[in-house]
Amino acid sequence: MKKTLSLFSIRDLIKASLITISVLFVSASVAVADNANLIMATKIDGVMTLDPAQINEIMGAEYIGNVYRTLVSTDDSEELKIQPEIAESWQIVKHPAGGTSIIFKLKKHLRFASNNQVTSSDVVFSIHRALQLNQAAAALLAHINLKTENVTAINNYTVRIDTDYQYSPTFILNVLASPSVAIVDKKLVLQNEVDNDLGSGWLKKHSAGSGAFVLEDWQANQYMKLAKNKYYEYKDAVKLDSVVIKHIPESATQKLMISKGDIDIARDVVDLEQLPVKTHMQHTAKAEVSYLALNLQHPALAQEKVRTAMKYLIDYQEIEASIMKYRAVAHQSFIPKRFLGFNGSEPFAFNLTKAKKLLAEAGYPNGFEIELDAENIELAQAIQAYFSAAKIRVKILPGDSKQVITKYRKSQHQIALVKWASDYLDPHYNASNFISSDPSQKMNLAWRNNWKSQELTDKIDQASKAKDNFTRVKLYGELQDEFFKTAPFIVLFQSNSVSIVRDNVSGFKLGMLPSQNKYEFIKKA
Amino acid sequence: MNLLRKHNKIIKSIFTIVSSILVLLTIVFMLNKFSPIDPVLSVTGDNVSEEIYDNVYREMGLDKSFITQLFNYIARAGNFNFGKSFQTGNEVINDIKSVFPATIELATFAIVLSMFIGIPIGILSAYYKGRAFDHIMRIVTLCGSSMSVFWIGLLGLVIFYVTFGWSSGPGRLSNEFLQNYSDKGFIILPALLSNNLTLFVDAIKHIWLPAAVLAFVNMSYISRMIRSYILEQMEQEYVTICRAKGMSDIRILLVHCLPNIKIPAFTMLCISYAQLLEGSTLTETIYMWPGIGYYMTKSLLNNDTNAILGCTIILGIIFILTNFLVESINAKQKL
Repeated sequence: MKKTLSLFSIRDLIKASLITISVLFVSASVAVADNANLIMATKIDGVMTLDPAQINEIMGAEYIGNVYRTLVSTDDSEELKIQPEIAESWQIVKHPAGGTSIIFKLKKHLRFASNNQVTSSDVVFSIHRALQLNQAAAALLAHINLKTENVTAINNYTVRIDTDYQYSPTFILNVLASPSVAIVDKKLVLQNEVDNDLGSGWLKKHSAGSGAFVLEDWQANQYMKLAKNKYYEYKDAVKLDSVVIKHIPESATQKLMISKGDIDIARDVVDLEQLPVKTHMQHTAKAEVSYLALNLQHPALAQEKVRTAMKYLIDYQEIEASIMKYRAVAHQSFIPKRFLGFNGSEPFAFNLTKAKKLLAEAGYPNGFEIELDAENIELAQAIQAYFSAAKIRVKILPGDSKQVITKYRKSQHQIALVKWASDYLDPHYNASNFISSDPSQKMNLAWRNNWKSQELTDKIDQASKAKDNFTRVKLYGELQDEFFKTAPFIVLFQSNSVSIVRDNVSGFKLGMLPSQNKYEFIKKA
Repeated sequence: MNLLRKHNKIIKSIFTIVSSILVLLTIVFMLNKFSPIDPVLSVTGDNVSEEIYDNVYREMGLDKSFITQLFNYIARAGNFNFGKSFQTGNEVINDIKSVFPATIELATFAIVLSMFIGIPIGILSAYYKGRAFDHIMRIVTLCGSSMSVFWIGLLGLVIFYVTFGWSSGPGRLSNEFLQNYSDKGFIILPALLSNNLTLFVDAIKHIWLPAAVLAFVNMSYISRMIRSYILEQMEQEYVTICRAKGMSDIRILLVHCLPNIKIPAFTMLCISYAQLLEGSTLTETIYMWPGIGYYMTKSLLNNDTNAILGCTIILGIIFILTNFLVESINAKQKL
């Protein structure tokens, strides 16, 4: 009688053990990467849905940028000009009721990855859908007060978008270039609609776009696989067959994997001083600023002279060269570099004498005690050291980013060291968040710090409705000047997107917004 | 009468288990409510309007009173309906089903490795007490129990993955298998049973290093405990009598002492296994192991109440059942 174990035979066990041992100790692990497939390591555990109307985090926005297309987009030039995308041209026309109207003419030859044609009904459906779902994309479209009745199809390839107010066309176009306004395949999405959910259940794990790639698979917290879209407009230029994005949360692990050649691009390496062999670094400024938020509820911080003194106590350049090397550049305006209206001013430099004098004038010659909520402890300690020179005694309250933000949103902080990323490349986004005290902007950054200025709020409104860019630039210049003088914010840096790339990989494009990080130009030698 | 006594015991045990889980649930729920992290942020992000924020807040049921939320949760949890995770948007039970097999495989590998290495080391250290082997093993086990798992994990990767290439990189599977097998739950045993040796080998090449790291830490504990159990036995009177009868030390150790330590050793191994099943966040993070430790830590950092409570119940049940099982087996063996 054959003697067996309950589940499998002893022979199988011996066979498996021998194979295992031989594999473990004899064979070497083989790098899988080849020329048509790219493997990238980053953190994708923030992605909870792949529905473009609901995505609210960085990797989700990057996914949209590679899988979907928008009506228009911003180009790579210094001026971040608006360029055609699904729309081949647009025209500003007179609005009967005094708002702004833009007529978009769509490209006629475009197809979704499903081979369905891209038409005006897809554009209208996508924007209506975003507004009806009332999630992240709707929040963005609220900046131009867009309602469903404002978006109409004139014919198969012409769409008209009206706004109730006379917003600046650049502002409207910049909002429409945001990844949240991605155009989805109406027919495909509606085929998969369940219980009038506008296909959001299905889109959570599937794609319906016309971008360079399509979603092949996504396992939350594990990996995402994108495959080349054979119906993409510029398909011949796309050299990769697939892009695998692996969730590797640990920086050191990413570094080991890229040094071994098992991944082609590492996105979150912290130690940038010593790069692995056969790799190089790529970094580009992104639309994100790091700043200190000063809550005006604190009696000392309520004084303008104290705030100005604190702005003079920080050596921005020194922090850039040491702690933030490669990861950020010194920056003091609420408007990121390259944005329309950024005036290039950096009025503050470390000046201890001036700071002490201002503090004395404000009645604080011996400084004061203050709490600082921060996630980046290294940076918080540097700030603590700078402030201590003028006897401002900072107590650091370390916390996870969400913990800091929770407290900050409730305005329970004294000083918070936080970041702010723009969702579209227009100065209005940051102006309305940093400065506006309009009731519709409740819970914005100005509100959290108890700062109100009706005069500046009116100016923001004026700037968003200015007909020409020249006027907008002038108004944002004035807003920045006032911001430097009175705002309860000390903007420290503009962040960089940093990636470590294998030397045989070229063409990886990093942009100001996550959706501008493009894989379609990547080539592997 | 005997039957009634027996039933009484079962009823008592069930009562203990249920009340323990209820207390556990209430404590975790309360801790969650005191958490300084706003769960709405996971869904909305920071950049949304007050209106959208309020909608999501209400959808999550956070506008209801603390007591209503707790009772609603306990009522649902009774049916193993833990609700949806705020951070993944999936049913928590489905999330647990997808991450727990990864942890079970890793924990099982780790406990087997640590037993096979730890028990012999413990026995030999006791036998060679005060000699070179014992001293060397003391240093080795001290390293295992005092060094950071994070550091050991990275060192393991540098040596066995980067330098020698004996291990595959982080993750459960290589890229070519990810699409078809990453959502399949258990991988190793089904691959072996279906004779899919390529998949089996790939999974083994991925699991052995994180399992070895966990085993190194666990082995240190197991070997020290085994050593102390044996030394305790060696001081008993029956050992002196055996020696007087002329029995060799090795024979006394193997024939008399080892059977006597099986109850505490079994208890210790079961508890070690239960602890491994809770997941090791650091090992899972370094080795990109999509297990319950990483999932639960992410849930805690996002204050994902449903996910935290779901995991707590499952892990609590495992721990309580393990204890119950160990007690029952030990009671039987004592009889």
